[in-house]
Amino acid sequence: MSWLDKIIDAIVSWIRRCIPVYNPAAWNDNDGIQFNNNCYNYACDVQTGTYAQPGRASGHLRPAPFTCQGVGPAAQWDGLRAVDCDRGCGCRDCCHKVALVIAPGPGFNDFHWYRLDRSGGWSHKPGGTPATNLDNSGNPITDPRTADRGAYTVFCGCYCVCKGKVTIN
Amino acid sequence: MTPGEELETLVTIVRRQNPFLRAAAGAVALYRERISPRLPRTCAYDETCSEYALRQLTERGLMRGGWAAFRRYRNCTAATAERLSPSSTR
Repeated sequence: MSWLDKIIDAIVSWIRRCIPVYNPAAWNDNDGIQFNNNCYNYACDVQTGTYAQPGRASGHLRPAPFTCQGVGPAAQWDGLRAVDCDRGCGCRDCCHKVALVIAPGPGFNDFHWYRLDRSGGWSHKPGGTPATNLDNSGNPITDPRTADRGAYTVFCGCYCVCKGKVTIN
Repeated sequence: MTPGEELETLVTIVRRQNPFLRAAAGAVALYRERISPRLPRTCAYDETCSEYALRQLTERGLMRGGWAAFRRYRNCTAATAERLSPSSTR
């Protein structure tokens, strides 16, 4: 490997440091970490151990029923930034991208988050269950807009989680 | 910027004699060729910062073009991405 390749690798690693690595072992302990951290924790890559809810840390928790218009802005109060899914989060900021989806009901009304990992694939952690990079059909998630999301049929949009600028609880 | 347009831009810059301009354009071209493809999309703008930098260096030269590119990079934040996003709901 030439010195130029080493420099390029170092630059790539430095830029990619902001994007979380898919490491399910850090979340799937079948104990406290797994059961007390949910999809919002996982998407934001923050283990609060409080089963975090969008808006709770900022005092803007929205009660059910869950909608894109309710959960999305609540997350923005926590510091997430709404972005076009085909756009980046900004060259200068240290951010990674997440996506919000809703199960509209009737019967089952809930929200769920996916996150974009360093590998370029997406992963998620449904509630207290293990983190995974597979969708409901067992396929790797290349795009949450087209993945099999089960009951979460409404795709709300993408958000940026920037290091040091997001507080969840 | 298509590959053809990018090549044309680089040729335009190489024809100029300013070695600093050529070095700056070369660094941007190296980024676009070797680094950018290994990253997920990070830019908040439709025209990426490196495309913009190449265009500005070609059209406005090293000092003014370089300053414009630097300002663009400074403004390329998540807040900008949110402002440009149609899905911003709060």
